[in-house]
Parts: sequence; C-alpha cells; structure tokens
Amino acid sequence: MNRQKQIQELERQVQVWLDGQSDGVRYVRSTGRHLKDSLEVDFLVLQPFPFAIEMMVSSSRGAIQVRAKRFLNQRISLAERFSRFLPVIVVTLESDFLDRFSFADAVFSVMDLPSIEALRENLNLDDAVQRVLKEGDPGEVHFSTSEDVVGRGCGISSFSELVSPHVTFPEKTLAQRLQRTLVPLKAEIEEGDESTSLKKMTPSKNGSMQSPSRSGRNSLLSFIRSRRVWPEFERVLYSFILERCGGEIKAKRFKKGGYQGQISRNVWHASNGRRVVLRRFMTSPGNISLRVQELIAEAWMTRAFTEGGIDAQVLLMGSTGGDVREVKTLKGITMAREPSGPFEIQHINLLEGAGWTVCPWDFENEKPDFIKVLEEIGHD
Amino acid sequence: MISKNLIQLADAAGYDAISFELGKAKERADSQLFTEAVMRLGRATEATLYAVAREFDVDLKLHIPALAALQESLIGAETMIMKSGGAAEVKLLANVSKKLSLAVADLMECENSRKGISGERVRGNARILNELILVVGDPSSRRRLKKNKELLNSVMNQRNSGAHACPIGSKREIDPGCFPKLAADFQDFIRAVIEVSIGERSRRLMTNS
Repeated sequence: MNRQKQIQELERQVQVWLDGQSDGVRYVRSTGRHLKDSLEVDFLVLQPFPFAIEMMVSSSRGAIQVRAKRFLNQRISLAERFSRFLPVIVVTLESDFLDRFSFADAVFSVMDLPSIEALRENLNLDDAVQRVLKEGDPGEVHFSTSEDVVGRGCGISSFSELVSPHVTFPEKTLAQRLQRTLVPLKAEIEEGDESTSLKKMTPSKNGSMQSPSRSGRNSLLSFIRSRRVWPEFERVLYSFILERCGGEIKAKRFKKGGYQGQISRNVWHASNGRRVVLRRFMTSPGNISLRVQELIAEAWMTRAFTEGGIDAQVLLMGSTGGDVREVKTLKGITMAREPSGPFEIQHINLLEGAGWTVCPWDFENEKPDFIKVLEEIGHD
Repeated sequence: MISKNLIQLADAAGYDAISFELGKAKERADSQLFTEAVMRLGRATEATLYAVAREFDVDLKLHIPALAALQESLIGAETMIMKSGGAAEVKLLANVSKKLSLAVADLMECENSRKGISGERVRGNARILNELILVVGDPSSRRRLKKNKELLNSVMNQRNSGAHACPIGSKREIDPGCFPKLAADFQDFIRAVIEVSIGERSRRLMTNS
C-alpha cells in the first residue's frame, strides 16, 4: 500500500473509531485549504473533552526523526492557538514503532485505540513538550517588513556564486575568503570524483566507454552534499567572526526533550558574557516551507534546553542559487546573477516569530548584517 | 467570506448560538446583503463573548449599583450642561462629586458592596472581554485576548454602522468592497475567543484546576 493510501486508510479508521464512541463525541477535521482554516492537526475533538489527533505513517527511523521536528512545529502552532494544555495523540497504522515518535502526549496503533473514557482518564501531557512550549517561547519579537528585506538585499551571494571562479568579490570580504577556500575544494572533490568514476567506467553495448555525465547543477548539488564543504565553510565564517567581534565559538550539543536525534549548535560567546546561537542555513525554493518548520522547532527546543539561557539566535540564511553565467550587454560583458534567494517575507517573518534574527548572506559587504548584530550584542 | 470551518468549530465546541449567527451571516453574505450580514456578524461576536463568559462563570450582568448610578448622573449632567450652555448647570457636577465621595466611603467600608450584584442590563462587550482576560489561566492565552481588545472595538463600531441609521441623514449601506476585510476581522475575533476557550477547557482538565 503506498503512503497516500495508508493515510486514507488511517483516516477512515480513526473516523470509524470516533463515530463508534458513545454519544457526545464531537470533532472537526482539518480542511487545510486556508491557513486560518487549517487546524494544524488532522482531527480536533472538542467533546467530551478537547484533544487533537495527528495521523502518522511510520517509515524509517530517520524519516520519523525528521518528521518529529515538523510535528513539534505543529504543536507550537497549536499551543499558540489552543494553549499548551491541549493534548495531542498520534495514531499510526503499525504497532511496531510506537516508541519512536517524539513530542506526542500518547501514541497508539489504530488497531489498539482505547475508548474515549479510558483515554480521558489516562492521558497526560508530555513533560518535555510542556518544557519546550513553556520555556521555549521567544516572547516579544521584531518582525521585518518587506521594505527591510529589500533594503538588505545588496551584497548577497548565493552558494553557487561563492564556489564559482568566475565571480569577482570585493577584497577582504567574507565572500572572497569563502570563495578562496571553496573553489579549490570543489575542484579537488570533483577531481576525486572523476578518478573514481573512471574506475567505474563500463563498456556500453556498442563497445564505447561511458562515464556518468554531470551537469553543472548536479555538480553543485554533489558539492553541497560533500562532507568536507560545511566544516570548511564554518571554519572561514567563524574565523571572520572572531577577527571582527572577538569572543569565542563553542560547539554545543544536546539530545533531550524526547527527540531521539541530536541537535548540534555553535554558540558565540561574546567577551561580555552574552551567548548567541549561530545557525548556517541554505535551501532551495522547493524545500523552504518544510525547512522553516524544522527551524522553528529547533529555535524553541534550543531555548528550552540550553542551560543558562541564550541571548539571541542568529540564522544566516542563504540560497543555493543557480549556475552563474556570463551575458553580453551593450556596455560589455556583465555577470548575470540568479535571484538572491527563495526567501519571501512570510518565511522570514515565520522564523522571526520563532525568535530567529534572520540575516542574509550579504558576504560581499565590508560589514555584513550578522556582524552588525553580533557587535550590538557583544557591545558592553 | 464566512468560514464553514469556523461554523463547524463553534458547533463542535457546543456554541450553538455562535454557529447559528455565523450561519445566518453566511446566508446574508451569499445573497449580497452585506449590511444585514454585518449585523449578524455583530450578533455572532456578542454571542461568542456571552457563551464563553457564561462557561467560565463570568456574570454578564454584574455591577456595583452606586457606580452605575454615578455614570447615569454624569451622563445626565453632561446633557444638561450642553443643552443650557449656562454655568449654573455645571454645578450638577458637584452633586456627582458628592455621590462619588459617598460611593467611595461605602466601598471602603463594606466588603460586600465591592462584590457587585447581578442587575438587569448586560454589561458592555469590552467589559466582558476584560473580565474574561482575568479568568483565563494561561498567560499566552491572556495575551492573545488582550491583543484582540482593539479588534473588538473596531468590529463593533462597524456593527453599529450596520445596525444604525446614518446620523447626518444620508442612506447607509456597508460597502460590498469592504465586506471581505470586515468579515475577516469579525471572524478573527470570534476564532480567537473560541480557541482561547478550548485552551482554557484543556488547561482546567489537564491541570485539575
């Protein structure tokens, strides 16, 4: 049975269960067509007592953990509307993976759902979720306007530009430093890939040798996925921060809150004692909505589980960009650039609502926005 | 323009009067009768406040008689001052002041007088909302209600435009072009109060308080 059919079957069985209870059960189902009409969950039961039902089809452990962050984001949205005290149960088709679902107040196989009365007597709120919802609240936040975002648009580089040898960046900027590290690294990795693929060459039916061809776009994606890229990127980034703002960078990991994965964050400790979580982030337009949901959950979790608290969470938000190409204009050859990113004001506002200070990859500027933010926080 | 989902939510939560008024508003809006629809939305807004207030034991008619009488006296004095235009009528304010002094003394002395009594008239919407804010236990829900105070004021002004004739004697209808935004504002307020109420039900159940 494919995933869509599994969900439909689950939905049917949950509805049968609800309708089969004694009189007095009243509920609404999510239509999801309009943001305000969406209930954030599949079923909201209101009588005889309020609780929400989310249906999940379990798959691999990894997929469940990725889904966990998005589920926590759902719980945050639900809490903003119905308070953190609204219980949420997860109903799944299988009975094998019940212990793998994080952030639910209870998890049931659809074959083993209790009566509503029994549920009411035994349902307790999950301690870790309550901690996230209570202590992860960002409080008052600042929202950018469209004008702010447009105003910050200059000097922004996409990842594809940073790894292109054909783009010229201003001297001594972070963009130039990153380019000087990433371009040779990309060439080195591609060279390694080519020698590996040569070894894998096999004769085709007509006898000629075939090599897996790779377009520029695939080459970029392959580079992004390389394990060596991001440590190098961060090494250059952090060295730039320490040079400009002082302080020190410490890695922080936690594995709490019922979340079975691991959250790893780098924290900048300013010399005045303030602490700022730094998060590098890059995505393509197709993934942005899901990634934003995950980042919202991360922001709340980080605040709730960082002992001693943190003073700010800074998100460096960049885009993959497309391939850079040269075009001829009347004035000569000019570099054509992809749009600065897939990020729209609503995504930025959603992240800001979760407590992130969102800064663009304006690494071509002498003083990027995130440096201004860190300077302000680190100022005595 | 009128959300079916909101009607279902009110209905499932047991707020029959709210879903009834919203359903009527939808009928009117679907028939392009926007002025009538706004009046129904106003009733739905009041029905929301009344239903949720009753659920959480807020007395809709509770008041302190001495202070209510003072308000009446003040309005009477204002009317007389404006009508006569003479300085003599200003002295009526001295009577109001005297009544205020007596009320203060009574309220200071007698604990029971501070509790108020249930009268005949339903209190104003803003006052009911204020009292709801006090009885809701979750701080974030209270914040949400507080944020909606201005919205209540704004939508009820629009309801009044729909319900009353124009003071300068001209014809008055709700502008069809403005109706979608207006309907959204009414529904935002109603949704907020219902959702807070569901949250408060959960809080009381899950924390046994």
